[in-house]
Amino acid sequence: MTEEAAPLIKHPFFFVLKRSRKEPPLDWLIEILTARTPSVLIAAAMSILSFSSAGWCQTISATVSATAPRGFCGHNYAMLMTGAEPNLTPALGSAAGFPGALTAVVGVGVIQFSRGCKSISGELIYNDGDIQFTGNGGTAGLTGGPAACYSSVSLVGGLPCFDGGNHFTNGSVTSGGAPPGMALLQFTANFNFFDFGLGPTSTGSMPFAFTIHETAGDFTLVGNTVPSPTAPVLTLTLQEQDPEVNPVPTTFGRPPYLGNSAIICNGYGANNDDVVASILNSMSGGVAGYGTAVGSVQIFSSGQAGGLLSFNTNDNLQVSPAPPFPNNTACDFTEMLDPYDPPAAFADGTSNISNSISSPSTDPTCTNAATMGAGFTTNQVAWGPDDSNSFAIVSGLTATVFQFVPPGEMSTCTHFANTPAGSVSIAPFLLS
Amino acid sequence: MTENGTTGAAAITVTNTSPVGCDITATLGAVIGTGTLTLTSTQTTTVEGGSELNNAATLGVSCTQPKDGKESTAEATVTVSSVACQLEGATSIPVICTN
Repeated sequence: MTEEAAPLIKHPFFFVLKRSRKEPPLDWLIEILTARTPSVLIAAAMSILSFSSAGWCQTISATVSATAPRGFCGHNYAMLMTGAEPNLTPALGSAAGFPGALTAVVGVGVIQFSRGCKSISGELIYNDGDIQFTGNGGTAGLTGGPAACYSSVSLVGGLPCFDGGNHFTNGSVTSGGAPPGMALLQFTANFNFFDFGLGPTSTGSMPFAFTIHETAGDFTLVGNTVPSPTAPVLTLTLQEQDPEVNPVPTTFGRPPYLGNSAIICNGYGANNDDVVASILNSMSGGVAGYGTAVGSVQIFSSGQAGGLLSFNTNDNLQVSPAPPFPNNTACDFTEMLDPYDPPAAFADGTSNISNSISSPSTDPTCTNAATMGAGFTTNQVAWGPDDSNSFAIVSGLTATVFQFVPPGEMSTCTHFANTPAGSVSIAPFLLS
Repeated sequence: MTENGTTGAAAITVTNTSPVGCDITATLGAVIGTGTLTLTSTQTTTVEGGSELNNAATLGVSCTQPKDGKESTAEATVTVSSVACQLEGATSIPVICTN
């Protein structure tokens, strides 16, 4: 985004922000989330142009040049990106113009290397600053994915989700330009769903370039982004999917969607420009906050699934609302494949999952359960032996009064297989 | 069941071998007969996971007969369900109280 574009974004949002402070919090949220202004449209269009000219040329076909055999060629990998976007806006009070707070970036997807790395395919859900407007160093926040889900029940244009297709072009693995022993991985991720700061759903693309390094057996690949003034600073972790199970089954209750998994998550709150982060502090990471969660989930052979998560979001402290502070140290939840956009699981190991907090509304260890209909959406990619582990990205929040909005934070989780599915058995009834 | 309010106790044991706790819900169906049956326990109970010592849920049912002193019965079905957990065993249990 250019300097000239910045006021176009700032003004309408600032106006809504001032006006809505006199209104109840939820009305404020609904009004903002449903707003569609011409200025936002312009901002979205300019952001697309910015990404399209970000440094790598795009072509329609995906052509690959590989100079040497590599162990990962011919294999599929789940993909986790984490990092940050340098903020070019000076921090307040910084006369020296030190950079402002970093904006977190996360991405989860799948990448397939053909034999000999002749071609690369895959899909990616990417969250760079969520939906904040101006705090991202002159670039509007965005969240994007191969497709849109929950569109029929969302206050915005929907949420990003996987669709099982190939959305990568310009894929290549080369040695040229890479440090010794490493390789240069490039691809362009094409998105059928983009949400630029609550702008309209649109399409776009984003080029990526990673320097990657192999590990023993090529079960894991690691990398980071090639330095560029226009690209975020990311780490890349690729975990191999089960080479013997391809395509991946797609039904809850069948492996890999069966049994108990431990979950570990972290999330970085967006800037104050992000309406969800600024309003739903307790449900998201909060403005510039940081949150973690640990827990587990179990999927039974019937397809029923649920678990428990223990959250630590800014030590459960928050700016607003006033104390008592939230406590979400033991929240029960249930989950299912996205029921609004079937099919929600795909042969490439991706899936779109809807989670509902199921703790009683008065549970003192799950404040978020007091919000009727509270839940969150995730998108997962299976990996590992039997594809029983997975990466997940949190793509949205939901409640009865604000259905399916962006998450207000950049959050990812890793699921590790724990135990096979247990059982819940009922003994004969006894009378006395 | 004796006249006007003798309580009969009923219990159900739920064993959870999964690592995750499960919420189970008990509901009492329509009562047939001249007496009454009432679910007295907490309708939803969390059965902790993975612990042999803490995996039993107890369901209470009370029975009451009319004051006329005549023989009476009260029969209903208690159904146990769970949103997140797959239950194995009989989930519909008949309860019959007679005096």
